[in-house]
Amino acid sequence: MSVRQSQFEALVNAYSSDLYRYAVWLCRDSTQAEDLVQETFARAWRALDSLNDHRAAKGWLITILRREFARICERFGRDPLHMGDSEIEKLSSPEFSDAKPETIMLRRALLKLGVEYREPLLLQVIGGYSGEEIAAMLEIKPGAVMTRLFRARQQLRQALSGGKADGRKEGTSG
Amino acid sequence: MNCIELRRRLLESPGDHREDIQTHLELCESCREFASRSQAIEKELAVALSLEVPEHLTSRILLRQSTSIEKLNRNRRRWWGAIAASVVLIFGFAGMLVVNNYPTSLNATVLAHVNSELRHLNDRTNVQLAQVNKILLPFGSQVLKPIGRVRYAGTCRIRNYDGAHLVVTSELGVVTLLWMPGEYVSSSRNLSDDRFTGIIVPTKTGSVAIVGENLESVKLFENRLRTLGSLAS
Repeated sequence: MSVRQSQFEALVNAYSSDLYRYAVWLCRDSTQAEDLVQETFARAWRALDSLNDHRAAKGWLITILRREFARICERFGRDPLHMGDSEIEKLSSPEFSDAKPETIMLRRALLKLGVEYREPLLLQVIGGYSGEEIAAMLEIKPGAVMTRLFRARQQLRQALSGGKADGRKEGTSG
Repeated sequence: MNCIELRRRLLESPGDHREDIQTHLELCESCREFASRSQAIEKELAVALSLEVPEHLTSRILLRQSTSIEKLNRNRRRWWGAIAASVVLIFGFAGMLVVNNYPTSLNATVLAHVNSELRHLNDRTNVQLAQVNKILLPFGSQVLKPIGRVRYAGTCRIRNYDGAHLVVTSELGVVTLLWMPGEYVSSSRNLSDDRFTGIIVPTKTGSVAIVGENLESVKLFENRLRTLGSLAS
């Protein structure tokens, strides 16, 4: 087996699961997510020589995936994979794990988050990236990333508390 | 730091355990409750995002990559073949070289593609006609009536062109339909391997491949597409 082939297989084994999860939550469609991951790795194979630092491989793959998703959006409209109720049910069903009611509520809330809030959250939680790193990947200012993370979690908390603002006196000083 | 700032920082970055945050938490019971709730939600969020990954995902990725290497090698062989053909042309044998191995290559590519996307054959989705046409329209085609239960509708890349990939069921079996704009064939041609049989039929913008596990189902969908006017003739 060639060195190039070994490197590629190592990338697939190390990152395909995280990439798949990221893709599902990004495009909100499990079938299209798998296609997206396959296309990402197909492109990664062709461009493997441009990956100089293998410690940056995960970010590199996520960037390829995001570009591929943007390409699909551009071609098929802003929301090409418009998610119907059935897809929400599918993604938030116990079929995807032995989900507890709170997990299901969170999944539903995640699926309803705008992509501008959902994506930084995915990069932080699934990718493990810092605010600065997310800002570089999304090509926005670090301050904007933090604001979006704040709003994303605020919306999730509201969803978990039944759509009402979290009643834990967020605005009081102590 | 006041409570508002602390809560903002915890929502932005729940893993932030810097000293000023710890100091505030020691003094403020309300914020301790908030932080505790944040940690619980964060754990739940990690669980919620951890969807089960499809079985054999890595092997399917590697299969597709090995298919692309094969394709690359074939293209290289074709490139060297083209050079050789040019030399022969110089000597006046151009007419003998008009027929090359292009159709065979398209057949092989279609079969390799279907074999690398086997998962779609078991898809349980029921894709509606409107969604099918949303996929087909960018490729200059559409189906005016349902052609069967569509289990999967997506885009794919066949050789150098983007196309549409449908998996449709009928009483005679499951069939893969590949709309391949830009892949022109002069007439219908058959294809088969150990598992699949099929046909590539010309259309106005390229061709459509119909591939299934039995010839009857392939013929059934060829007739349906012809009736709907989706095929050239």
